[in-house]
Amino acid sequence: MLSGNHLSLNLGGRDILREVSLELEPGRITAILGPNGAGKTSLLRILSGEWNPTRGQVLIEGQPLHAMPIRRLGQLRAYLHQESSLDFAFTVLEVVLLGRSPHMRGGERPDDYTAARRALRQVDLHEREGDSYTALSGGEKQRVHLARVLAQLDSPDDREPRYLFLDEPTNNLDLSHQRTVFRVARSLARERVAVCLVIHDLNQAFQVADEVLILEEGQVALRGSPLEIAASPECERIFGVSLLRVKVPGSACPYLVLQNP
Amino acid sequence: MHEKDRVGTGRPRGPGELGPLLGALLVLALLGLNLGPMETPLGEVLKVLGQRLSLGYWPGEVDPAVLTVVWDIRLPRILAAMAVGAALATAGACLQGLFRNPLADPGLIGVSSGGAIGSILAIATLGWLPGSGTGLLAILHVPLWAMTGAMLTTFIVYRIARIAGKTHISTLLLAGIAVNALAGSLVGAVLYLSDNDALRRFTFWTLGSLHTAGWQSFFIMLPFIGVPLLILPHFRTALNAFLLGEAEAYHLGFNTQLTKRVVVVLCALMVGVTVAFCGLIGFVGLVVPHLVRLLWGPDFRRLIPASALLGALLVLAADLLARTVNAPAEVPIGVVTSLVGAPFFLYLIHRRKRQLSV
Repeated sequence: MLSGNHLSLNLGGRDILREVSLELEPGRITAILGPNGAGKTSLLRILSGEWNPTRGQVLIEGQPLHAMPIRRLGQLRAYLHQESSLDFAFTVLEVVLLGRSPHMRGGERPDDYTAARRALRQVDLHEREGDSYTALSGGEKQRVHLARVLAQLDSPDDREPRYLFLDEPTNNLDLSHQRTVFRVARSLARERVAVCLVIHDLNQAFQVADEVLILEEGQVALRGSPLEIAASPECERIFGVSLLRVKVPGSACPYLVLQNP
Repeated sequence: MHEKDRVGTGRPRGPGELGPLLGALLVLALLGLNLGPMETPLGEVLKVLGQRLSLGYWPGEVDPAVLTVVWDIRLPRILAAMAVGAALATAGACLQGLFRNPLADPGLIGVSSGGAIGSILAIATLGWLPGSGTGLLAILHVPLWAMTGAMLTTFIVYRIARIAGKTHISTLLLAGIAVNALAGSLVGAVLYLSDNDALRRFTFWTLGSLHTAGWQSFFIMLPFIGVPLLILPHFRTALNAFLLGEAEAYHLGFNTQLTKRVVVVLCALMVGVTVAFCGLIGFVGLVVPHLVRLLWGPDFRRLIPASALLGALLVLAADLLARTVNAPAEVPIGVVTSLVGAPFFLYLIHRRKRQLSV
């Protein structure tokens, strides 16, 4: 389990996060939502160890995150940034193999190629492995990076708890590949990976997540199951909009529609 | 073939691919020993090498004039050219990784000029500073200042050019322009205040030359180039990850702070010591890694050794050209490298411009 305890972040005198606590459990998907500037990405960066909180601490399996060697952490935790760019003409397969770095000692082994190709198949790019990364479209690049973090977390031991952070993973993606992201997240959760994602679309969050957390001005404003959050009148206040709740056949969770867009 | 059995990315990997480069380097070095204002038959050159390397056990007599020219003048210069080329090309490749930009070149982004500023300050203060007038410190005085100047500039440019975790080539090049301008004005001021003799010593900074390279300067350069060349390959996978971004490299399990500091310091040592002895030799750090990437891809595991070899080869060739094209007079080597490098840089910018507008 990875837990953030009373996390606060102050940058240049401004409170970005205030006393945020949450737990990421292997096998569960947690979605973080909130208006722009609520501190979602900052929270992800702190939970993953990229940034240090001003106050509070992050524990991984009960131990302080920063006590773990960086390389070991790289085998257990992966992070997909909102936008990754790469200005060098690697092939698609080579970019995905970079994800195997924390597992490699002195070069790729056959396992690393297997993991990389498995990841490429999951994001539907297995036929493009020899293409140059720089020639891909924005959406394809995003999928290559998704494959890279999947390859990073590919472990021969399915019971080992691992953590995946996704910052707006569906950006730039068409509908079918948005679905790919959610399917991948679901299948990882089945393999004892804790998935934590920042996302803007409330309905998508309700569809994919086990737990939803809504941040407002750096504080946790709401948390609960998708069903509880979808029903809460607080959503209107936090996002400053009027919402219509539509019943969808085959789903307990209502669909939120903007009123008077 | 079954998916499980397929290994490799389709790019050549083995060290054998570097064989032709090594062969060309040896041939060119021999040619360099043979060519010059004084006629030295190849047989005589080989005899000199044989006698010297076998500590006199090689049979036969050598003409002392040939011995001096081949062993004391041409050989150290050839070795220095190779060391300088390997240093500049490897520093270029590594700085491009650190800055995540294939257009970064020690000369363009101001690192070399930082070294020049250090050198000029060192010469200006020679004799003022305690201990700078005698012994080993006197010999190391200028190179140490040059390396410090190169190091400070790299850190400053890195700080300036990094916006939200990314370095932008425009800020990088602008910072480079500013540092280059500062170095230019310093050189100008020193030139203005100098007498005729000093004038000649200073002009070579702006154009670069290997004509002062002898055994002493080669052996002083050697550790500052050789040690970084031995250490930098250890950071090859970290530098690969750096191409994705500093945060990404951290998430992939690399100590980014350590990588950054070590790479900057080692590159500055190499560039600084080169500038102190040979002045500004432009575009080697840009052209060589680019050619290597075209041939073998951007993977640092191949890029570092191949850049070192190809850099040595190109600077050696440029120096050969510089000292033979108008013999016995010499063309500054920086003129040769810039004549090739600058149009190449323009072509790269033009190609990237088109890429961006599509």
